[in-house]
Amino acid sequence: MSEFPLLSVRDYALQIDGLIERNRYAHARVLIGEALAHYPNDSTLLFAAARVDYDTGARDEARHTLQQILAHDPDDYAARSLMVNVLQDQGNLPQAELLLIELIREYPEAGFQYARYALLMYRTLHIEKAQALAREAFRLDPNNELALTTCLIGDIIDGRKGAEQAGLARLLQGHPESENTARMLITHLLSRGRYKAAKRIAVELLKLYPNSREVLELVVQLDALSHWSMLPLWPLNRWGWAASGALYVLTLLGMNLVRNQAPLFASAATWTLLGYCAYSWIYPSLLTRWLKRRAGL
Amino acid sequence: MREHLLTPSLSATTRPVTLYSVQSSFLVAFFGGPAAILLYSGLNSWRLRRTADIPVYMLGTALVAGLVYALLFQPMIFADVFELLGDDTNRALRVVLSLAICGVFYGLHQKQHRSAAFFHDKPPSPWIPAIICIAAGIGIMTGLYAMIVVMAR
Repeated sequence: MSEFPLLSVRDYALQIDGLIERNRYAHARVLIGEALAHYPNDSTLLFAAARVDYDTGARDEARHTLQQILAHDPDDYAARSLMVNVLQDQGNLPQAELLLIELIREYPEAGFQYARYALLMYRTLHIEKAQALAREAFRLDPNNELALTTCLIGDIIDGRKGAEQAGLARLLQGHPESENTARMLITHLLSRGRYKAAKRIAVELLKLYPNSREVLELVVQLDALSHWSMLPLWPLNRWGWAASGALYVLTLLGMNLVRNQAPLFASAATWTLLGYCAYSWIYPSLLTRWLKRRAGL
Repeated sequence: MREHLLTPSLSATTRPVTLYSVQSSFLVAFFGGPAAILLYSGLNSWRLRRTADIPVYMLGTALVAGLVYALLFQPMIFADVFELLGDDTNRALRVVLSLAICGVFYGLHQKQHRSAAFFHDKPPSPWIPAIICIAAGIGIMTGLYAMIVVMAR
């Protein structure tokens, strides 16, 4: 390494951004180290270092670097924006909320920040506020992916199927290639009990993000739900605990009917029912475990 | 409108709310009975600070007391059910009422449950509160039967 830099900060930043976009973090780290040796206090390079740390799960290091940037320039937008993510991931939600409010006050037209605030409110179960924030984000920036997503989440939570479908259509139209859209589509298909279709999309998502453990887990979960041996449990998977309640009532009526009308079959019916209950309790977790092991999880 | 939206809702002293799962509520209702599920749902209402749920608890308590009274002193009301279910009638009616109460509280807290499911939030461990609620629920139902019998004399 020469004492005088060969590249300007801008050139270093461009190269580093390219590496981050292609997920080549190790190479990006080396280049950042070289660039920072020449320009130790440059906020663009420090921010790139924080981004690499954040993307590779080194939250504490990312936070430290961001604090370093904010010590020099407390108004740095990008650093504060990333700091919100770091604070949320570290569980410091009140601090993340204050920082988001600060950003929104300074950039009142940024629909994206409203959408991020909406997500935080959904996460902390402040549903009405989250929905109002999502609507505000959509009003400010109707084409923003996150704004559309937060509105769609609101519709899903409300159980408004028509609005959910319209929201999903808008998202698919505006951002058909996005990971976010794929995830929302999977959620939608899951809620309709269409596990095979959801699995096909999840597999495509896995092809895009082959190193993502989270996506692999999603594929395994959908694989289990769409497995042929899970077919008898479809009503329970589709309608959840309401189906279990209905099963109890039907069982009561059915068993008494069998006992009165065909007592010879009463014992067989009881054992069949017990078998089905045991199957519904034990089998799904065994299948998921086996599929996880097969996938190397 | 914006000012209202930009007022902080979280504080450093209170932890973010997480609800006991629908699964644990169902099991408490099924094995613990109506009093147990009223107690257990009360934990979620308390976590959400939902005072609007209070009338529903009062209605639920009245229904439970009414069911016990009717089973003890007006069994003819359930003559048709008894014909259909025989000796299982008492238990079946208790379970159905418990599941209905569980369903009503799921409906009241549905948005929060769906949001938690959407973000894969881990619910708090239900074991200790569920066991306490089931034990207390069975105790309350036994006490209620005894009390109504004494009061009716």
